[in-house]
Amino acid sequence: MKASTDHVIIALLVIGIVIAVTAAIFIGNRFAQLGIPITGFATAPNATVTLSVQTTASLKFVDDSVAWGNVAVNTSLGATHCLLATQPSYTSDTCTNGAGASVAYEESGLAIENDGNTNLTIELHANDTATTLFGGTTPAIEWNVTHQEAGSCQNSTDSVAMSINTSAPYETISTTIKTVCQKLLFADATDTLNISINVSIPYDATTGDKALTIVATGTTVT
Amino acid sequence: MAKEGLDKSQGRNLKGLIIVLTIILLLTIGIIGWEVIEGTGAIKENTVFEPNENSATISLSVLPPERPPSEGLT
Repeated sequence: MKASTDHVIIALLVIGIVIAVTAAIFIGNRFAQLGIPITGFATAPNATVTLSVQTTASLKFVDDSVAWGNVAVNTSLGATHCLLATQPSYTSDTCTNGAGASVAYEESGLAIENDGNTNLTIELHANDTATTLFGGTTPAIEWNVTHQEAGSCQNSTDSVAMSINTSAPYETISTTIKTVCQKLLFADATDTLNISINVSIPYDATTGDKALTIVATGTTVT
Repeated sequence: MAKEGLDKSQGRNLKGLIIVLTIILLLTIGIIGWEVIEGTGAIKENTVFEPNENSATISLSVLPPERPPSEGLT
């Protein structure tokens, strides 16, 4: 009977220690979150602090939406396609908003930023094509990647360069992965790209709400 | 007789201790479970990671042409 009682007490002691240690960890963590770190009296005035900085690959769209609203081909003026572009003060007689007015401006396109602490290779792909999204006669969706912050993108030899920015900068969006920047830098002043969009909607496109998703992937590169 | 009374008393104390410790254990398990579910505190720091993939959306609503193409196109 006494041996059995001893075993129970030992088991309780072990459980108690586990509970105490676990609770101490959580209490210490909570105090730290509240800005009340638990400290002890320092008997040695000098100390050495060591740390390791974690490499973080992080990419985000700082402008993640282009929304033109209602769009109709302005067939009254003989247009066969509505042409839209993400450019400042862009206007086009080829489109209306369906109520006799111009389509809302989309001046800035999309913007993507490297907000980690390592250089990234940037790849883009779209989830759909213009043909399947709009249908009709010769629809088109194009993108053009440029520097939003000058000097953000470098090629493999560290020269400032873009993979998509040639003499014919706009190119048809791709549903397969397309490398658009070999090395997007991470310094705050030089870490953002702009993705301009051109859209051409034919008069015989299918009507209704349309949405295209563009996915950007960043992979760490030295 | 007196020793038997003492054993009974110790047994009651032991039962009380077991109950109290069981309650504390269950509370601690509950706290840990809550931390895991909410993703806060120490556990969050070890489980959160920043994705390096992101997406954007281009949207519009296509309306029919203002008049039928047969009447308006050139």
